[in-house]
Amino acid sequence: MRRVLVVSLLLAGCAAEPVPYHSGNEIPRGPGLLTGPSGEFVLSADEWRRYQEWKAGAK
Amino acid sequence: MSTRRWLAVALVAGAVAQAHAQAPAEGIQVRLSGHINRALMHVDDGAESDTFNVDNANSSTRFRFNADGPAGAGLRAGILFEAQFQSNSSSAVSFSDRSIDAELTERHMDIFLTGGFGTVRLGQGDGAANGASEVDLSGTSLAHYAASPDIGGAFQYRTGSALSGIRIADTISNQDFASRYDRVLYQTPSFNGFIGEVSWGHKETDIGEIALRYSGKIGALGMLAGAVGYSNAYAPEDAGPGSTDDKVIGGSISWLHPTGFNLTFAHTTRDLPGRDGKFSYFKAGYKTGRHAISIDYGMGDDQAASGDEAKVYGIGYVFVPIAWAEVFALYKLHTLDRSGVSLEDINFFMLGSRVKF
Repeated sequence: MRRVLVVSLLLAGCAAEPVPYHSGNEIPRGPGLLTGPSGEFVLSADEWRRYQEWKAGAK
Repeated sequence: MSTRRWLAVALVAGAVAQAHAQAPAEGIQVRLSGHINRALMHVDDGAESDTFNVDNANSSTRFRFNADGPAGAGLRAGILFEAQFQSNSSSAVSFSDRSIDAELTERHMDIFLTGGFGTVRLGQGDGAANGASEVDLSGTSLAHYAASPDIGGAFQYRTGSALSGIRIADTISNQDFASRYDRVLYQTPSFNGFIGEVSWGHKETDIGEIALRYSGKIGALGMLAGAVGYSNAYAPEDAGPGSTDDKVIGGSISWLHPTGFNLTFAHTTRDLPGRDGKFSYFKAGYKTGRHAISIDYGMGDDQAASGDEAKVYGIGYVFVPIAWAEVFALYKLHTLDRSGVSLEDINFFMLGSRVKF
């Protein structure tokens, strides 16, 4: 069995285009109900600056 | 930007501000994601039947923070924090334990450094071989996959109307190496789709693991993914005579043809005192558009006791009605042949949904 697996994998590697594997049991890729198209709440320095500007403007 | 998105940013920003009272450093992004995965699970063990409201342990309810940023010299460093919060896990409920309080349990508490040399991870997280027996391109692993005891593993076979004390999980585990633990892990860069991993750490005992993984498109034949792994949980130095290392070897391979037809195979062998516990798994499926369906067959031999033959037969279906939600259905049958004992089969039917937030 192990030989079959190893040989299959090696053959595949000879003429293949690498594609990252993502397990269906992990958090899915793609959009989220609350997070929108990115699927993640993202906080960056740029996002923080825009949030501060929005907060200042809302007062 | 919508009000909803600003509210989301404000929530995350507020939490970070409490801790740091300053903006993230330039170039660093903090990301939060997760999902909730609930189901109704009906169980019939030949003497009793009931329906349970469960958290689907195939992909437990969880949330995650991760962040990374430039660390100089072409390197990036970051963190991964992931925890699960399961109320009534589908792998833990049984007729004698119908309601199980939710508890927060660790999955990943990791720091990492990545660059041209590969990736080094330090902390709680996947061992090198974790998941190597679970590679699956069917699109139905939310409903069923190699780790069949994730659904109903705590239920016991019955001898007539009496519980036998033999749990499904003890008879047909996929023996997926050492799972997650506190470790140091090194992952090579990808070489034409191949990635090597090695880890060393500690759970109940010291653990060493190694794995080789592959994932890629193979031209007109579609996509192929697979992994082989080896783990050794060393016997404690102060263990008595007769104690042995806990070694597992095996792997899995999955092929998805462009038509949607797919095949998956897994096999593991575990060194047990006086015998080898074996697991084999076959799955055939078809997926098109928002639908995926598959049938599977698993065998666990000599796992709980020498001579045991456990089997699982299942059919699973996953539908994606909207991009952030999946609906799944599963029917499966567990059987166990043990010399000198007549055991009832156990039927499961499950219907539920995973919603990513």
